[in-house]
Amino acid sequence: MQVRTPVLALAALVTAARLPAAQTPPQPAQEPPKDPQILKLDRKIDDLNDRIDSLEDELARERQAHATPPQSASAFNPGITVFGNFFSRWDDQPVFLDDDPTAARVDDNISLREVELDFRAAIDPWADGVVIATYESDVPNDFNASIEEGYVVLKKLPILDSAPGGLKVKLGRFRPEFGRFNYVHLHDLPQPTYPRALTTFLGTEGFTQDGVSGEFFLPSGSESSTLEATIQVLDGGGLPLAADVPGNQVASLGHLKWFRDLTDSTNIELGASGYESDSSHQLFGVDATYKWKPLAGGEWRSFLIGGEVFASHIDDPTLGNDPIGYYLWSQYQFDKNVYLGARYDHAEEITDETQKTDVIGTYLTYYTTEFLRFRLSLEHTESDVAELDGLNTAALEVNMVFGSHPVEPYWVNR
Amino acid sequence: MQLILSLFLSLTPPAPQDAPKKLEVVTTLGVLASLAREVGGDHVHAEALADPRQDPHYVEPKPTLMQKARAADAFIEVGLQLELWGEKVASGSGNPRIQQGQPGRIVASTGVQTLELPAVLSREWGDVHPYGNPHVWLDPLNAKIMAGNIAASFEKIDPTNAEEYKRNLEAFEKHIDEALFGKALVDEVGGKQLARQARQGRLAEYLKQSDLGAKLGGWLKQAEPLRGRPIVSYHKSWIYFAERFGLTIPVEIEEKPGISPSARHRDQVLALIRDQKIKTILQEVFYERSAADYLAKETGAHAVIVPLDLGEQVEAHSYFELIDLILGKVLESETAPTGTR
Repeated sequence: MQVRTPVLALAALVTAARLPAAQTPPQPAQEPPKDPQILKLDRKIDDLNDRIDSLEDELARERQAHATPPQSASAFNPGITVFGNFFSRWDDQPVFLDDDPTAARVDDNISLREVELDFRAAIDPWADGVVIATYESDVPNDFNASIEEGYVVLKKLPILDSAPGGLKVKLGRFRPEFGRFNYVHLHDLPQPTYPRALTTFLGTEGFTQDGVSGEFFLPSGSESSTLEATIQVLDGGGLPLAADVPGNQVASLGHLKWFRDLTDSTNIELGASGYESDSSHQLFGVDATYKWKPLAGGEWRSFLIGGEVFASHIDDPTLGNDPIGYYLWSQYQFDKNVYLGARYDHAEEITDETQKTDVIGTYLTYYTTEFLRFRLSLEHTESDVAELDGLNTAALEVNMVFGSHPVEPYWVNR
Repeated sequence: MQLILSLFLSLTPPAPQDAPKKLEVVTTLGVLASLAREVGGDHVHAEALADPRQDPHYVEPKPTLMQKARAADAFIEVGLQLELWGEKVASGSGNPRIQQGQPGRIVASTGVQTLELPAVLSREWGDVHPYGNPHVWLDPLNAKIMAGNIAASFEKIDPTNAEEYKRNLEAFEKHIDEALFGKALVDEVGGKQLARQARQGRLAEYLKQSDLGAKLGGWLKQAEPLRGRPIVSYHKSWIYFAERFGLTIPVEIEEKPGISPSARHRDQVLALIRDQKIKTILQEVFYERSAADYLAKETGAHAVIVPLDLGEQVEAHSYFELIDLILGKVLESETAPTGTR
């Protein structure tokens, strides 16, 4: 005990001496010395920060990659879009299929007029493929299946780095480039039916044929205009004016399209078409479309006016003497979803040019979105064909689109 | 047959000349042309296909646009399914250099972390984008990534000028950092560190802890009065801009993306503007403005109509002017008393 007392006293003294020092206010911070070791650590921190940066960038890329839908072999499946077109009509007199009084009646009915299945995908680096299968019903409950289109588009040529004139080659079955509306599918029309003139000269569903097509740009001399040419070699027949021409007699078709931007919000398109099965069965056409769609608010307002003329040259005793046909149409967009349009058609019968038919119609279209459309129409027909004369028709069309929605400009966005 | 062949051959583009040729670049949007010029410098001629007064979702793929793309060495798009029309233009041009998968087809948004990635994909939700909200360029930090993608592609297409593209990219990134954080702060801390903190939402905390708050400058300093402020927008175009500058967007005028507002939805927006004392209704130049004007009239909020792209046709001619313009207009609205603009 005697021995421990001085030790404790010393410890107490040391503690007492340190306490005041601990309570002394801190001195102002001194600038840390630029010790080489600290400088080395600073550099190391910078390096680590850089590594964190690159790792975070990598992480962001990984997150992005994982955020995308999982890829599997099914990713190579084609994009599939389904179009369904319902059509209900009310008529004040009997209407017969193809205006033939011996055929089925098609007045006053409600029908699923057409279902289209659209498949498309890249085939390989050189080509894209498109197949469009159609189920259509001219008479309710009676569906016909067909391949409306099925073709391959060659995007580039193995022998050339750059295709001349931006040449695009199409092989297979397709809607030939005759005029303005023939290549537009039924579900995409701005009106509930194809114009009478078109159905008279190109067929009730429009003209579809097997063949080869080349489309290319020609020099237009201006940045604000383009000149595009299409040359098509087609299987013979298929058109009403060449119905009896055998398939092995090749037909040719040419189309020239001049497009010009008039202002930022207006443009005009002029087209000329020619089809020849042989020198006795020829069809010519010219078409024009003017469009106004303002840049700002263009989804709410637009205006279109257009027309197309068909003129035939026929030297065939079973057909008429060079019948002609034409239509004029216009459409105004009132709001984002509402369009009002009108169309006037005139057509002479292919088999007898003295039999003329005139149709005037008006259409009110409402889109909920570009994928669902409701359309009401009223049409009045005057005709030398007894079955058609005086016909008044009211119709309701409903069109739906679902699926992967191919990158095609539907009319609503044009 | 010989006639047709000679016609095609006469349409073939001329063989490359020995004289230095500029890289011909077409872009879907003006903002991408601006980024291409920043990183391409004198070696690039860039032209945008869309007009900045147009809705970039719906541009008509006209033959004149296809003709512009015909001779292009590169075609730049944002991607994320913003410009579906771009594919129609590229394929219609017949130019093999700009088809999908080619080095000349540049998707600028690659690697950008998108927001609003949908958990469920259905048209029931309106015009949803499967890969997330595509308006990514309105965050200046994303513009750096996009410029990086463009520069990397230019290096592949035109390797002789690769070093210059790298230098231009570095200069652009520095310019963005200085414009966003202020030169003094970038000089002291470095752009990478600041960008990292900003991306992680920790910039304010970091500056406070490091006692660097006083050195903050640039757009973020200007945007300090906006922090936490709610605004209303017409379409979901502004979420990247809002996130970077601290704004919140509790509701859009559109009921769902691409779907016009019903009267009921418009009244709900009106009630929310009054309830949250919202002062700014931010809308793109190309949308019909009657709904925004109605809400502004009824609530005293300000309808701020601005472009989200740039070009000769609008007040913003470069990326920096675009952010200056949008930020300036929002600040003007937020600092003005309600109903005075």
